[in-house]
Amino acid sequence: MTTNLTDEQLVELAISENPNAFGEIVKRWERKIFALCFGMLSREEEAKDAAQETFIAAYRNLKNFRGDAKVSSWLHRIAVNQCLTTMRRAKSRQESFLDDEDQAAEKVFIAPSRQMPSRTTEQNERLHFVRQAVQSLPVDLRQIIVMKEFEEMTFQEISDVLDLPLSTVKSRLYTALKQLRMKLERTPMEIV
Amino acid sequence: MLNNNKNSCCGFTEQMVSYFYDETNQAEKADFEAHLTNCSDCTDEFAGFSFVRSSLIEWRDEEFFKLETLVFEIPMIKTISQTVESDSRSWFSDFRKMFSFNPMMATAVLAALIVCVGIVFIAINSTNNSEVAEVDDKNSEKIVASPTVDKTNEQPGETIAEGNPDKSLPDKFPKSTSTESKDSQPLPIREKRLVMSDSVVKASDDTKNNSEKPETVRNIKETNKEIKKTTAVQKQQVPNLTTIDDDEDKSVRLADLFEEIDSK
Ligand SMILES: [Zn+2]
Repeated sequence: MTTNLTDEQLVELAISENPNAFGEIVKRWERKIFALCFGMLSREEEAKDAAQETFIAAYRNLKNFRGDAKVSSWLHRIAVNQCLTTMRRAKSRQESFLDDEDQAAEKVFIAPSRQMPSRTTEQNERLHFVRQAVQSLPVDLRQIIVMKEFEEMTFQEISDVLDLPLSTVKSRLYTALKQLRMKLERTPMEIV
Repeated sequence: MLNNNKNSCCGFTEQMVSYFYDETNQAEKADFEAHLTNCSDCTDEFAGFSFVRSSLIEWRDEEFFKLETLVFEIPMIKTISQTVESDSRSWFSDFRKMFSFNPMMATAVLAALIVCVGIVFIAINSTNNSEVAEVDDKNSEKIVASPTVDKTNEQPGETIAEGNPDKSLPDKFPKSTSTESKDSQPLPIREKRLVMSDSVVKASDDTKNNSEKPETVRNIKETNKEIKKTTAVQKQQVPNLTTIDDDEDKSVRLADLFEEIDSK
């Protein structure tokens, strides 16, 4: 049974004899990786594509996986890189329409508000500002806030995945929360 | 307006986030709570972070948690569900499956059994029939030696009369489509053959349970029933007539003798 194996053993199994063992890795991490991509990109479709590309890239590079590394760290690194690639592509597309680069950088990743009939206009606006605030964070802060709130990881898990000291994770999270507070406590008119 | 640029005033940055996300031990928790009651900056910051977090959670719950769990398919490998399913299948479950009740299989086995029984029944009957045919052939030979016997001679005719549909069932018998049992055939032979075919019909009825019986077979069947009735009545009067016997043969020979005498 592959379900009793650790992530690292599964990867070893997938490399050595049974490529299907990678399916169990996908099963274990699909929701978390999708959450990370959603938090980083704010768009469902793009997040889905990025997550899918993450697993495909991981599978293709199975033989490059270092045995001493953690599979979770490896997958998160691939996912963050995939999100950055998606952002760069989107940015370059936007730049062809917008002359002002700063304006483009500011607006490119702001997902259009999902106009759910069950939500009030006020709620839709609030959600839009949250997405906008998160997207404006530097990537290193953004990924930690997304791991914490969307993947619901502990500080220790984030530390392990990102291979960072625990104190660095906490201080980055503190900075991220502080910056978000600054953005969200502004009036909507100030943001736009 | 809040002073958002100010860092955690008192160097409680890590304790703040650990306490905020409830990832702290009891001692650290007590320390920070003691500080929080006396530090307005930290209290203010804590309130600000709570607002940020509630906004993030609202976004997550409204937009991410409502999304279905996606199943990512890596084109190069099987889907996860297939992998897990194949892992959980064991030889024992396959083995057990062989013995699980399957209505289709049970019906098929029952049908096969009925067909087999039918075939065996037909085979047994046809064996008997061939035995009878042998007897019939002997009789036929004797009768063929004197072709007028069944018309002119009354003694075989008595035997014939026992099952003679021409006498007891004048309308039905000639309608029989059986080519073998036409006029030239002695009736005892015919009767035996018909009885045999009746049993065959019965066997085929059992196997097929079929309402589409050929008309000929149905006629023969009905005829045989009536022959049996007639035979039963005659049996009471002449018990020995049911066998084709030496007596009959003797009577034929006597007839021959009479013929010879007459001719002389
Ligand atoms: Zn303080």
